[in-house]
This record gives sequence, C-alpha cells and structure tokens, in this order.
Amino acid sequence: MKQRDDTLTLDSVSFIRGERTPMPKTILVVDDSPIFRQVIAAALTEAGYDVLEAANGRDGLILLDGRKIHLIISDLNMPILDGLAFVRCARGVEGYNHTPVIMMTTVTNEEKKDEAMSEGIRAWVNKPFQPAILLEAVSKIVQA
Amino acid sequence: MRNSHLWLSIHLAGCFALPWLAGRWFLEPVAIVVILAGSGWLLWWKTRQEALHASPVNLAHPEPTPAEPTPNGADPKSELQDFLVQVAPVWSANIELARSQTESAVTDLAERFSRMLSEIGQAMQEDSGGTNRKLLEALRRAQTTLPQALASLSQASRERDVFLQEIRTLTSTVSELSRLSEGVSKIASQTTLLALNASIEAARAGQAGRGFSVVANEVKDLSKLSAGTATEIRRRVDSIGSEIQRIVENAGRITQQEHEAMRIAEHSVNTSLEDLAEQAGHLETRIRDLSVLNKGLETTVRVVLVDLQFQDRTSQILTSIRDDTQRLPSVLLSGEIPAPGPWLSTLQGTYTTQEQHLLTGSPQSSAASSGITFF
Repeated sequence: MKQRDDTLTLDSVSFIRGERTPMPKTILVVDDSPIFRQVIAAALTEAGYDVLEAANGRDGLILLDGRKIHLIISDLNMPILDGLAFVRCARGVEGYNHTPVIMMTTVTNEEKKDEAMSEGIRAWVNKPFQPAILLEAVSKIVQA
Repeated sequence: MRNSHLWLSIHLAGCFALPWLAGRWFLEPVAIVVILAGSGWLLWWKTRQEALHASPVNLAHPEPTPAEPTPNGADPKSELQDFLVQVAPVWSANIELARSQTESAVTDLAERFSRMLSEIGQAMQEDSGGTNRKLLEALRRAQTTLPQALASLSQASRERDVFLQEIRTLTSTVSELSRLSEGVSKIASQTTLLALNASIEAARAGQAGRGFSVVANEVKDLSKLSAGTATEIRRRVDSIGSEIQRIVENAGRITQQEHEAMRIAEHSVNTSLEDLAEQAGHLETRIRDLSVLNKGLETTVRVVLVDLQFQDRTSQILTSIRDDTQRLPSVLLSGEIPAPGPWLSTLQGTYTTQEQHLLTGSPQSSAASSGITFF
C-alpha cells in the first residue's frame, strides 16, 4: 500500500513537470523578443514539453498547419501581427478554435486584460516572469 | 544659459552614475543612447528657449510668426528645423543600434546561461548516480564485507582450536592405553611366575603332578605370549602417542602463527577501515558540498535568466524613443514646430511598460509587475 502511495507521489511530480507522459505536449511560443523566446523555451523544454517558436503573429499562424498544439503562449505587442489579432486569426483556423492561450506581456492595462478575456485567453502573465510561475500555469491549463 | 549647462552636467553624471551604482553594466549602452538623445533634446530645448526668448511662440497653438533674421541674415527657426531634420535620423539610428546590439548580446547571454543551466542539471543528475556516488557505495560496502570476512576467519580459527583440544584429549587416552599395556605385562610376568611355581609343585608331586606340569608349561607359554603382545601393544601405543604429540605440537605452532596472522590482519583491516571511513566521510562531504554548490549555481543562473528579461523592457522603451525621434523630421519638414502637449500625448500612447507610465504619472493598473491572472 505504501509502495502505491510513493508511485502516486512520483506520478504527481512528473505530472506537474510535464515528464513521463507518453507523448510530450507541444507548446507554441509567439514573441518578437528573442530573449523571451529563449527563456520560455528553455524552461518548457527542461520541464519536458516540445516547443515551437515564432517571432510574430503571422509566423505563428504559419505554424498552425494541422499539427497538434496543446497550448499557445503569446506576447501582446508584436510587429506585423500583435497578440490579440493573432489569437483572433487562430480562432478561425480549423483545429485551433479552442486551443488555450496564455498572454505574456509587460502591459498591465486593465482594458487590454478585459479585451484578452473576451477573446478567451486563459491566463495573463506579466513580464518579467518567474519560470516556475509560468510552468505552474502551463501545467494547470495543459492538464485540464 | 548657465542653467542649461548645469542640467546638462547633472544629466551626463546621472546617466553614467545610475548604471554604475546599480551594478548593471549592461545598462551602459542604454545610458549612452539616453545621453545622446537627452543631449540633443537639451540642445534643441536651449536653442528653442533662446528663440522663444527672442520671439515668443504659443506652443500649444503655434501661430506662424515672421522669422526674425539673425545678425547674419538667416532664419533661426529654419536653421533649427534643418538641424533637427538632419540630426534626428542619426539619433534614431544610434538608438536602434544600441537597442539591436543590446538585444543580440543579451539573447546570446540568455542562450549561454540556459545551456549552463542544462549542463548543471546534467552534472547534478550524473553526480547523484555517478562515479563518486558509486565509489562511496563501494567504500560503504567494504566497511561491511571486510569485518564479515574477518569474523568468518576468526570463527574457523576457533573451530580449529576446539579440534586441537580434542586431539590433545586423545593423547591422554593413548597414555592410558600405554598404562593398560604395562598392566598386561605385569600380569604376564605374574602369570609366568605362577606357572613356574606350578611346575615346581608338579615336580614335587611326582607322577601325580605330571598332568599339572603340562598345564603349568602351557600357562607359562601363554604368559610369554601375553608379555610379548603387551610389549608390542605398548610399543605401538607409544609410537601413536609420539605421533599424536608431534601433530599436536605442530598444530599448536601453526595455530599460534595463525593467531598472530589473524591479529595482524585484523589490525590491518581495522586500520584500512578507519582510513576508508575517513575517506568516505570526506567524499560524502565533497559530494554534498558539490550538490549544494550546484544547486546554488542553478538558482543564481535562474535568477540571472529572469533578470536578463530587462532587455525586452529597455527594447520597448528605446523603440518608443526611436519611433518618436523618427517622426520629428517629417513634422518639421511640414514647416511647423510641434506643440509639446499633443506631442507628448502621442509619445505616451506608445508606452507599454508600467515604469514609462509612472514617469509621467499616468493612471495605470496598480497590479504587481510580475504575476499571473487566470480568466
């Protein structure tokens, strides 16, 4: 019985870290800042996720080509196509209508947050961010 | 004029001193850009103030005023416009250069630190089941198995001692046999004497003792035989006794040597075990220290990776200044000097970070600068 409890504990740890899953979850990171893409990708990869990167909304849309994406993490202010416009476009792409999105931004404007909420964004993470906080949010949303 | 020089000096000192005080070497390029931009704006402001002083202009609602010619006949407003039209793109280019160089350097740093983090993780993983850990386990095993081997040898030695004691007991049994054979010899001697007496008595009896004389002779022969057998028995028992005595003496000597060897072996093993225990302790401490060091290093690198995110914020601020500087020449080329209110309002509209809004005291969300909101 004790052995069973230990197994459950190990499973729950790996569950949070995104490890020991049969197929790694894929997360699309859309951010024009290379430093943020680097830091986010490093944290997610270390936690066992597969990561796709795009430097703006348009490049992000190109990656919505039918592959399975479990979560999108997007910046708000980006050249060419900003975060909210990207999410609106993604909602119209078959297979990605309900893909959960986390918005990461330096913007703390409440109106923008309300706008994001109306677009079905699941979480709003302020930059700079702690990787542990982001991983917790990712785990909650991806495993939900 | 003197005030503007004073402000310029403070501005320059502040730009260099603030990054130095904060210990943020990477803010240096930003400081240089701010110096360039600030110096330019101060020069523009000074010239503008002088122009305004010479010819007041309503900044909020600029009205075309006839340009007052300078002593050399040139229009100062036109000269300022020309100056800014030529200089503003250079400022803008420098700002962009600083922004892009900082971005490139910080991204490279972040990549290196991420790789370092990964390598630290690997090193920690390898260390937990690696060579040092295996060596420590081997040392710990030796501390158990070597005393066990010694105990087995000691037990075997004790069993040999018991066996030797049993052989010594056999020696006393042999001595007893020797005594018994002596008894048989005495009986044979007595019997011979008895047979002799019987022969004498038979001779005295004459014809009547003739048969008895035959019996007496037979008894004498038997007693001789018994005496011979007893002698042979004693000889053999004595031989066996000597042999056993020799074996016991040899075994005793070997046992003594063995005990001495065991004592030396125990001493050597115990000394080695003490050394092993000491080395294992050192190794364990080293592994623990390395682990603590690695964890500390890992934490530091994680903090650095979070700190490096400053680049995105400074990039956004510099982009805002760059764009603002870029739009200045086109406005000036249209022939107007922009009013500061609307101009600043447009600039503030490009602000993305909370710190920028706080600079102008604009009402913004008081939410924490880092955190998460679930919808």
